[in-house]
Amino acid sequence: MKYDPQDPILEETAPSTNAHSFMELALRPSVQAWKRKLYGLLAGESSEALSKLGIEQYIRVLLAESKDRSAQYCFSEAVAEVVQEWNSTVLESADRLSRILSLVAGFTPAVGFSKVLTHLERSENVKRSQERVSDEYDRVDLYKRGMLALAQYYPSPPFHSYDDLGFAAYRSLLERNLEDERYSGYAAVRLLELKVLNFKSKQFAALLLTEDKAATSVFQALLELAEEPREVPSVERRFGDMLVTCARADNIQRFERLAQMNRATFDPQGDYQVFFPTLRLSDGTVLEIRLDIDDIKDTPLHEFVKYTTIKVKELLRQETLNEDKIGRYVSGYIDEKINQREAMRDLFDALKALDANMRSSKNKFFVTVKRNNFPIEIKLRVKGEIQEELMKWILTRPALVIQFPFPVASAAA
Amino acid sequence: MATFEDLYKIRRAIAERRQHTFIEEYEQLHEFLLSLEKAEPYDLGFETKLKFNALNFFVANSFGRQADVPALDPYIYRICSIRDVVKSTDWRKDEGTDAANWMRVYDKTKGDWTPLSKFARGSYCCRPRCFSWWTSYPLFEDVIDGAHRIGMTNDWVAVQSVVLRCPVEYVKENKLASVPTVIDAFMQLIFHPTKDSISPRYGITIDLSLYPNTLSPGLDEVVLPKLGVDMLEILPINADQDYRAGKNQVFSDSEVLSGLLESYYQHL
Repeated sequence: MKYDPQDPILEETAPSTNAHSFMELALRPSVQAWKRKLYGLLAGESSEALSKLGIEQYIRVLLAESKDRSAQYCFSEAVAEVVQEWNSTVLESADRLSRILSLVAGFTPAVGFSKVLTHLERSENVKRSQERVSDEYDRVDLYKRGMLALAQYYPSPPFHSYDDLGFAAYRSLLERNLEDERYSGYAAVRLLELKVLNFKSKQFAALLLTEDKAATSVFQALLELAEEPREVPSVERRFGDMLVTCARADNIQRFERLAQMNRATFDPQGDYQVFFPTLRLSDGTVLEIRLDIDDIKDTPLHEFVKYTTIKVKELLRQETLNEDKIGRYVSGYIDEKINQREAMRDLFDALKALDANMRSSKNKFFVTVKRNNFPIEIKLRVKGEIQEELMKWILTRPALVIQFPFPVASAAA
Repeated sequence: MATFEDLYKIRRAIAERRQHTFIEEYEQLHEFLLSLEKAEPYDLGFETKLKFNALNFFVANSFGRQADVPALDPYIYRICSIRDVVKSTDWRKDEGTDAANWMRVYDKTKGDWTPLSKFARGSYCCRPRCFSWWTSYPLFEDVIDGAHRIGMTNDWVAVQSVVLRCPVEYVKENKLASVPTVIDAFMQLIFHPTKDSISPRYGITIDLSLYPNTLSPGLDEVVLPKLGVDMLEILPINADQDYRAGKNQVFSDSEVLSGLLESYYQHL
């Protein structure tokens, strides 16, 4: 039966309902009726629908079932008033606090942020992390629930984060929680998401090397992010940052252990085909760990990095060229072996054997490889101090010229 | 007008007639309900429901005979809220709200069936009694229409809904399904107690599709115990205002529904 509030026949024949019922509120919403309902919910009103859905879905269903266009407005006004009237500095029962936090998290009324923030700041000495609430089976961490409510206001960093006082206060709260083992993992992940904590910073290095929970949570969050194909390169770089940090602290085992804790296997040498460190996940996926060779030069990781022409050949033989890998590997090879005549000669011979060559143009260096008769240029990163030496090599080695096959005009044309 | 109390009285009488083997347990539940100063069990909060765990026989998973799930489809299905799945499993990442948790599932599944193990670990165990209701009807085709066919009202279908599915073969091989009984449905307002005497192969839902004209026997339904998340797949469905627009509205607190249920139960 559909209810049209302006249909007089339906209005006359519509079943009479309890003024506080779900149906009544769906059919005839008003700010007052919503406010009464919200206070009822906070006070522990029970119904099968509420028991099945929980407070957030119960409200969403009421709004979705309401045919009255003013329903959303009435609810928004009512929830803003109810949250405004909540004195967040007073100690609440676990039940009531849990429901208020659900309300704020679910519907983010403007006033909710400062109310929850105040509540969390006031309760930092006694965090309610193991509370029994009547509508849940397991114990509930109400402090964490408060942090989750605040997170709804800042899913990502605001555009002008330094001008945003709310954000600054939220950030400090998270930073303080880095010290608390129970919340350090959550806080670290959030601070990274909000781009407050930098993977290359000293603060993050300290967390990574000393705080098990924070380090594990970050590792886990990155693995989760890697499930999204477009995020894989960024995750691989971040793992690279983490690995470099561990390597610099002469503690590669730390990275290895974090991988193990997340059911992944760290291989510092990587797959022969991959040649850089890898992380094999429990489902068989292999992530490369992208790092800058310069960053690991003085670390134990350097022992694992081996440059050979065999690998150069292998990379260049692949049907689909991995330009990023070739660029990084050949650049690393040159950087390490520029003063080793034999090794450099081997490199040029290897290129020649594969119809490839190396050339320079305007202080930029390239490896040129032929594919389907077209030349493909792969940019190298060559440091300033070795460019001159490399130029000499290029000029003294007769390079093959790979012609670009211009189309030939046909006779008929 | 029939109240929930009236409907409960009728249910007790039906229980005695149709599922006599469970009457002793049913009476114990009734006595326990009275001890909690409740007149009927259809509007209990979660905390009150939990108290029934004091009755040992009630905590055990189910009481019905083994069900034979109709193999109309390779899967059996269940509608629930995202919250239900988050709370009933070891959910990997709680985003803090139903909407955000649902959105994460939606983003990752891209609207397709996806293994639940991608989001959760362990088992799916619906509290307080750790069992859940399933049907072979493809509920995902329209969760509001599907809900009506299995005796669920609009106010029990979450906006951020999900449909779960489990392979029938797995259920059959492991003899997991039971025919729902009056004990399983003690707290369910809408329930069709099948006749013990005919040894039913599965339970029957009460179809609300013809509301407000009549109610009719609906589809097959069975109860399943705790299930490993590895065996389940999840499909998110956004049953929002647009999705519900133009569909029949049946609310659990409607007097018309109470009247129809009274009449339906009286004819059983």
